[in-house]
Amino acid sequence: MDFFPIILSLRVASLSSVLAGLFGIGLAWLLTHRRFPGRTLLESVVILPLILPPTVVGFYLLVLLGHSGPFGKALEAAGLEVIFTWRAAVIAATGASLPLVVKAVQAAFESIDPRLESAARTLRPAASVLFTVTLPLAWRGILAGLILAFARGMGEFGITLMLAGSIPDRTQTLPLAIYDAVQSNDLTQANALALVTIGIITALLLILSRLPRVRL
Amino acid sequence: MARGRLWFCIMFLAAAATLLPARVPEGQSAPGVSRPELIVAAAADLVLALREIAPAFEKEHQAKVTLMFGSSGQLAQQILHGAPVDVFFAANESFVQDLRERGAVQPNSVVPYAQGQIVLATQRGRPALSALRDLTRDDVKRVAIANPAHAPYGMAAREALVSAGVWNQVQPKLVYGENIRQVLQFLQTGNVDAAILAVSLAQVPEIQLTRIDSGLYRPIVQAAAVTTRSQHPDLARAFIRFVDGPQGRPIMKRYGFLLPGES
Amino acid sequence: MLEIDFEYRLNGFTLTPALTAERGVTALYGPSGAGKSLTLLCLVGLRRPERGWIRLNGRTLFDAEAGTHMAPHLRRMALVFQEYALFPHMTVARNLAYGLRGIGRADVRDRLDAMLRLLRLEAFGDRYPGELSGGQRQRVALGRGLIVQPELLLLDEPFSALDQMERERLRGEVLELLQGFGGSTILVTHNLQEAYLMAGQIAVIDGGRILQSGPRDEVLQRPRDRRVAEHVGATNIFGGSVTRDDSGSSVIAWHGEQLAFAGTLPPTGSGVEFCIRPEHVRLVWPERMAERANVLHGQITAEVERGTDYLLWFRADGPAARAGEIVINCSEHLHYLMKIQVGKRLWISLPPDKLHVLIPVSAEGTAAEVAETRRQMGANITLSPSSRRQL
Repeated sequence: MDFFPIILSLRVASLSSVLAGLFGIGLAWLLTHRRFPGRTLLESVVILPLILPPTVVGFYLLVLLGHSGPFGKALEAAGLEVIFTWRAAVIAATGASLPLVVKAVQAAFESIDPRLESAARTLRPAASVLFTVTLPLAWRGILAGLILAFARGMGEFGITLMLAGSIPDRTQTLPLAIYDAVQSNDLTQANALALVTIGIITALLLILSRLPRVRL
Repeated sequence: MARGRLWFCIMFLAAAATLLPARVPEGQSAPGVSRPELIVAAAADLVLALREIAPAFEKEHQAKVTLMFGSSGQLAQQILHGAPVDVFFAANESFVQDLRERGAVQPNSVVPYAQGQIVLATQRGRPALSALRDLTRDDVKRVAIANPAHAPYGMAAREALVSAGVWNQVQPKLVYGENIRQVLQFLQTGNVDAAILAVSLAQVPEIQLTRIDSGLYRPIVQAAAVTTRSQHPDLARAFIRFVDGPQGRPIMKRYGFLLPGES
Repeated sequence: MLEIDFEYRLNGFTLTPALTAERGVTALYGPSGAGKSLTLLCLVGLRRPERGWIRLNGRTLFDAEAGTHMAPHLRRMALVFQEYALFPHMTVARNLAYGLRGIGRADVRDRLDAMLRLLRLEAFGDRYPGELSGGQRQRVALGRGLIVQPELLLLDEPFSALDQMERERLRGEVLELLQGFGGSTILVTHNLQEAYLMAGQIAVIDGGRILQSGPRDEVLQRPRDRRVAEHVGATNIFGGSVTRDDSGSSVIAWHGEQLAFAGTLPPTGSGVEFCIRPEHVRLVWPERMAERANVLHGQITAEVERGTDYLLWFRADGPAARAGEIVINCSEHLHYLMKIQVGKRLWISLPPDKLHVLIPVSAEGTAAEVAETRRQMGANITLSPSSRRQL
């Protein structure tokens, strides 16, 4: 069995969960704690990857990041290869997971009594309050968001196909490899890879269910 | 509470550890000897043929060939946006012409390498169909073709059905595959009763096929080209020549392709 | 000493508190929606007013013109909510020590121990808030605020989540704790009794404005105008005019009666609005009638038994009946002695020194606001008999 897609997907999902986690928490904090013009617009943009078909999202990302796109040109000038490399797979997975993290963390933040934060703000600077009160109280939502992000990252297909291509031994992630195997009528390979995917996610959920007081 | 955090940190670190070394391996072979690598983007109907041809090329030229299959349309888009492809084997020369006009492929590398043919296919063991007219039979409930909007074999299938005068009756039964490989898969899994396939894919034991009169559709001229981005243009041209040459042609013929200079 | 005068707008509501609070406890008292909590948020720096300034002990914490807006944690203030504002994921000790920064570990330990002792919670340092009773949690919340030795302590309705018994006990404890506190305290409450009990100074707030602020007795006994009077329970508000009696003294002409007034009245002929608190209206024994001033004869039209005392509604005979009912607060004891019941005819007296003249209210006091405050005060000059029984 070819292990490359498995390793690649694990790495891509891990990295994209971390990135989606960081950006997602930041965005969720912004949307919960600040009022500013364009806030609703920002919320809608964040949700887009959940609503639009993945190939559409992938296509527009390709237009932006491809070598005729605004960002693509800048990246090429800087010597950074993004599209059709593993980095594109990470971008695809991060974009797909971001709305999940934002929603989960936003719900967690909103369930915190604002008076807790108000009381804390009189005693410590805002950054300290964030790390000692807000985040610890929201940890369940954050964890749920990260798990969703990881699972989504493991299963990302449509955007990855467009943005990173299905290049064997380079960008062919686990879902892309399964699809390829099915299309090539190599059902043994397809089943094997599918079982591996299920196995990984199940193992993850089992480990997490052992954490005290975690409810997903 | 503290134990929960401990677990969280452990898992976080484990996830981070999978990122070491930072760069994902490019799938390179033995260190020290770096063989030149070609990335070949090919239309779905070539999967069986190229998977046989490529290893022969690899041996002869001491190179590595990575095959990337998909629908010609999507591959063309990706090449346009900078996919690191060296050679493009399209299922229809129109895609290659389009890329040539946009400067994505080298103009003098465009080579028609085969002419595709469509066949009427059913699962072995089921009653065979002798002509397109048979698709109107009541026991044929679903028929798969490639998407005629953008897949060359799908366009040809539609043309043939129209020419045979049965398009209106058959159209309600049609199921569109995203590419010709998917059409094969529909038939193999028994989800459709019949399919119009590329002959190059239909050479599998569980399929029985009937030729479709090539006068019913415009020829599917399949062309290949070397991309302008290619880092190994000479090797790329060599690959095209290989496919179109003494080693490749017999294999292509075996899979039912008509070859330039013949037919 | 706290000096504030600012303006903050939120969704069509304008908050313009102006106040000087001395050392000691000042109650910020008013109904829901008056802007009390919002004022605290602005004081603490979690909201930024559009105009004005906030000064604490000479330091400028906020000045719109100068562009000063000090961060909340630097203002040397502490905000205490109800018990629920304890951090549930930290122990009592960590909660208390949350604000102690920039101090050595030994000092933190010392202050923590001292505070735990003061709160009588020495054994509870390692417990979590969930393991404590409501009263204990409230003490910790207060302790968390006091331990940082703030210059201003802000208590936002800290007792409203507690039951009656706990509330009274805690009030006493808090007063005790505040004895040792050298700074100013602002206590936000919508309970007039609580305001009077806990604070030396009361600031009445409604509609985003401070209507009157001063020593508690002054606010209660000498409300500035009708609105304040209604808020502080001086609900017998009537209108009359100034005239001279036979002996030439200034008196209030009120529906055919002449009421003596201890104090200075506006010039003869002016209209005047006056009030008297329900507890100051005297019930008069028939034989003592001649000794009293401003005596009226009439009958009890309704009464409400409140368990500890009675509220009586009295309508005078004659032309004064048009003025409406006078609300009287009557002790249980007197009620029994005088055999009060609905329909009983008796004499009452309005002591001249308990009458208080009000400044006329400007057009801002709308009828709706007035009706709202009346409803909340529980006593109403124009109650219908059926709604009175519901009190």
